[in-house]
Amino acid sequence: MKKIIYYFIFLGIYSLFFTTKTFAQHTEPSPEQLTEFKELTLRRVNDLTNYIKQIGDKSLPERPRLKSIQLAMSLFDTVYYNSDGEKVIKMPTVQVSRKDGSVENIPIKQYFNTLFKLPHFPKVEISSYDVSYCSDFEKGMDGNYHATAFYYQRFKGYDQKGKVSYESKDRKAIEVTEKPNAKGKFTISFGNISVIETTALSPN
Amino acid sequence: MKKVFAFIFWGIAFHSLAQDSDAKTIPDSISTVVFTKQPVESFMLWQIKSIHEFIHRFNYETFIDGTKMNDSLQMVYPRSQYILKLFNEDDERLKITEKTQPYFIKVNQFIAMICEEDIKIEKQAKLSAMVKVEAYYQENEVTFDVYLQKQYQKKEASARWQITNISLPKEIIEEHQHLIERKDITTIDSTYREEGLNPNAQDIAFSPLINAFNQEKSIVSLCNQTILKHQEIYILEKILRLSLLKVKGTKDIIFKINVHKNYQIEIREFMREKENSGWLITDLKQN
Repeated sequence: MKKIIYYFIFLGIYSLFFTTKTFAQHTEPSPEQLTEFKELTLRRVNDLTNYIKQIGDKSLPERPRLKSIQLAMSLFDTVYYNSDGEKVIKMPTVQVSRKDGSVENIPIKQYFNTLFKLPHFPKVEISSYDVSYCSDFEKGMDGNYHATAFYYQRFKGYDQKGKVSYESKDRKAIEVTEKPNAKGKFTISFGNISVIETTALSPN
Repeated sequence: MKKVFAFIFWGIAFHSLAQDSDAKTIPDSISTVVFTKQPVESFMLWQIKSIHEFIHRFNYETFIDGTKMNDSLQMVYPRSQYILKLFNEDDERLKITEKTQPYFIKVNQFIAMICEEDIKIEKQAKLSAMVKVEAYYQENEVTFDVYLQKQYQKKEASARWQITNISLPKEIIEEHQHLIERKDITTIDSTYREEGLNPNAQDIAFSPLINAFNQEKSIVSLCNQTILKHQEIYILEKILRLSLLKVKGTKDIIFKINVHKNYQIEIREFMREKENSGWLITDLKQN
């Protein structure tokens, strides 16, 4: 009987050690994996820009545009755990720094809703560029890996007469987090965004 | 009979839902949106977008598109020229005149030393930042400075940003000075949780600070433990908890990086449409 008990104790300790080791292997990505994360991040950024296009595209019906807001939101992380392991809900924000030196900080959902309505201009032209950059992933104190993705966009707003009434070119920086899910696989999510204008023109 | 009523009810419900859905599929014709793809402009490639990119370029590790530096690229862009491109070209001190000569010589000596001794910025080099915070204090616009430093935990190979100092406007300090009691400061100390900002917070203008100011109404967990008893930290924490301060945003970030043991470089961001843009060196100090 004792032998059987010892056998189960040994089996328990062995399996505990084995699973911990396997989990640890999953939570520490290799340098190659970190490079892959960069490529994956840029693909996710591409997805986000496509959703943003659909949100602003008024030639599309409302329903798929609202769906695009949902899909874009699903790329963002809103749940965090503090150092006590408590669940905290944080809505990522977009900070816009204008050429005139002013700054504005708005929740991401509000940013998408404004894009959905675009109330100020009868016609809008949004241009994208085939250039994006992802910084190195760095491990944070939360055990997750953090990087930032950058891309450029141009916005032109036309008035009733078809003249450009506002034009800006900006660089967007998006916070990226790689964290392991319950199965130990890494998933990418976005956080806060910073938008910096490189040019802004408001002809009167 | 019940089944018949249920059938009629669901029939009407589905019909009205279908009608509702048809109504929502009518395109909105109030404004039109045109999407275009533009050719990449050279400034977008050359612009130094992040501090990581700055360090990679300084260390002569990557080219502007992120690819590794190879022999042919090194032939076209020798390291001395590549480093010179990291300086703000509009800096008057880099245009040689009698007055600017000392700084000009210092920069040239620095570049020569970096190239000759193949000096690189260490991965965990001392990196500090100063951020200007724009806020409303009791409906008045105020700005104050927050100083941060990147902390590295060698054991876990992880990093974070921590607040190392705060410089509040004089009027705020004077208004609250009489409220400070020793026991209150100890209360702040007891609620301390060592957290900090993510290691990439610098790339998004430290905007997570805004969340701490406006939503959590506390910055204690972002501070280095050594500064918890500072008067200005206490005052800021107190006015945050009383909801007297609302932050608009962060701007004008200045970084300082130690290079080698003798030099410290100051870096600021220049958002302009020229190749010499992004995070550039604005000052070089000899320790």
